[in-house]
Amino acid sequence: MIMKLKTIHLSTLLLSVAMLAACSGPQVRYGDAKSVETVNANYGSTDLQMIAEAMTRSLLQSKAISGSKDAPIVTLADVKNKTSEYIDTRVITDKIRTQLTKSGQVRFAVSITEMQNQTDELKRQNQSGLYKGSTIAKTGNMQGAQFRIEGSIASIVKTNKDVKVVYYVFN
Amino acid sequence: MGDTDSIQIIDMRSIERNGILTAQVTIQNDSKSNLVSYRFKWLGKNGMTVTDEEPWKPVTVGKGQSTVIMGIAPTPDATDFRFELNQYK
Repeated sequence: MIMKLKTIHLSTLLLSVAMLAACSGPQVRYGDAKSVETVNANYGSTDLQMIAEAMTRSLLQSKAISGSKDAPIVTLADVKNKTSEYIDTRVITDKIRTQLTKSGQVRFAVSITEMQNQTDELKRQNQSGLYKGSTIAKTGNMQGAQFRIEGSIASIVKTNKDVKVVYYVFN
Repeated sequence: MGDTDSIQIIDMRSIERNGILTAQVTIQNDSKSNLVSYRFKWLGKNGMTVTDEEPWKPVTVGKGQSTVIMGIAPTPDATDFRFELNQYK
């Protein structure tokens, strides 16, 4: 009888330990990707989204784009990083490109970084002999850009023992 | 950190500039200095949003201070807008 009681107590203890172990792990949950992110002073998701949005909207309102009868053909150069921190500026460029494309106000010519892939695709279609003639994108029909968009991001950083101030400039 | 109850919207207007809807909202803070965030929702003719939701943008409004916030629509399809205020931590 005593032995049985001990067994029961032991199993209860084991269960409690197991439950504690399950509760002590880190809690993981999704947050709002659009919310203001202030984990630290480094460049973050809010900066990326705000920069891309501000630049796109400002471009859309410019006379060169909104004043054109047909959507002008533009090319977008990679944003240059002039800050002291590592920033993947390709993401900024891509975000601006996506938002401009969605606006329907501009068309994109092949940029320098995409040119190799584009010529490879044209060669594959025109020289492999695998494609139906009427569906092939012919060589020599690329359209040049009427506008070239360039940008750079710079920062001014000031710190003392209590405060760090980072001021981003995007042009 | 922020309390939107003390923020009042004192003016809201819009204009079509070069075919793109541009909105201007003036907010005033009557309480202590406040950290709030805002965003616009752009709606088409049928009342549906024309693009994905915008990110929340932070703005600091000092005590008794008013701030003018500008918003530019993402496409010419936007004909109306909503303005949202939120506190952030």
